[in-house]
Amino acid sequence: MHEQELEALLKETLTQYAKAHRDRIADLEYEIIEELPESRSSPLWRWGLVGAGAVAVAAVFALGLWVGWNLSGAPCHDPQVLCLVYPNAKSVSVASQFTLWEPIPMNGPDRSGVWWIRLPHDIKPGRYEYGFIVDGERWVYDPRATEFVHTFDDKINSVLYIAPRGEQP
Amino acid sequence: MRWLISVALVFGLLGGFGGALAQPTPEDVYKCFAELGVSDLQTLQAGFAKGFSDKRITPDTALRLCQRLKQSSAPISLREGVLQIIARALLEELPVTMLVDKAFEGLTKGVPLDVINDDLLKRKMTLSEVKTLLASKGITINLTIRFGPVTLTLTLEAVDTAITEAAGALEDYVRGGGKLDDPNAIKSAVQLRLARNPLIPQTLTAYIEQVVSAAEWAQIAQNIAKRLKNP
Repeated sequence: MHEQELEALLKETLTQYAKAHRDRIADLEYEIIEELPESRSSPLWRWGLVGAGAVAVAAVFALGLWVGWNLSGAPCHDPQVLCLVYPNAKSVSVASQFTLWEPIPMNGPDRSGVWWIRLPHDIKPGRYEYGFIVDGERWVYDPRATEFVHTFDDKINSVLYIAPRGEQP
Repeated sequence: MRWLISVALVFGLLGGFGGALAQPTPEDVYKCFAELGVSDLQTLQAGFAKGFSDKRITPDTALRLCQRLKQSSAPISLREGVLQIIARALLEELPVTMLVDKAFEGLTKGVPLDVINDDLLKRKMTLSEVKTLLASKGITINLTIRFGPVTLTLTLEAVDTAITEAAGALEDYVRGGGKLDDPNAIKSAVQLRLARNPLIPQTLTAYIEQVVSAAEWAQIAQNIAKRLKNP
């Protein structure tokens, strides 16, 4: 049998079936509507849905911030941030003239093993020597510094310059 | 009764905050010196009192230094030595930022106090030589410099910072192995350091470059080298 003949036979059969059961098919739509549960939406329910949506968006945003802060790279491009790459360190601190050489713990490490710290907001303009302390005992200079000086026992301090606000160092 | 307790609580909290925010006074510093058990409290008091009055050091910094020295287990003569060097520098009207800073740095790094004292004494001599050199050129507080259209009256902060930076640059140059027979390189190191510090007016830096010769800076560098050879 040809495909076209088969199609014609199928159409004819379906048409005859539809004619025979027309009354049932006509009521089918109403039967389905009656079976559906009553769904009247109240304003309170709608506001609840909006609130839940807002909370979900805020949660996703906060999660994004947290992931961004903890897993993304340290903000080393910022000139107000000191960075040190030391993946194997358990802790890194910075000690400097601006802290009277009191060690301040640094943040990190990030995924690349970078430790970082933002300079204090109230730091005065001037020249400051500093160094990093790895695992509480090992003094390390900052390879990103542009100036270095010899200090006690031929150790090396790094130097940074803080310009007055609005000026380039 | 409840009302009274609330008022007492509020006053107590305010008093606590006030106490936490209060800055140390000179008396707090002298009390710390006495508790340290120093042998010459009079010189220390005279030196630091002058320093507080001249605003070359704050009671807060002095107290923190005293407290750090209290924690040291070194003999009292060495701990007092640090304070005496700074007190004498203050009496001689020298800037003490570099000395105080090196004391804190050495204590944090666990450098023996005899090494710190020796370092401070040598740096104090350098500060004194630089101050004398600049003063011989008339560079002192209240000097008015006229440089083209710019007129500048020097403040204590500007002069002190210039002395500190020039002395620091010379110390760093010699300790870093810089050539002593190259006066121009020595002068360049000093001028670069002065130029990079935002607390020193550019007019003062330019004036120093004009009036202080390379040979004069080189002489101080050679004195530093001699002092470093003789511990």
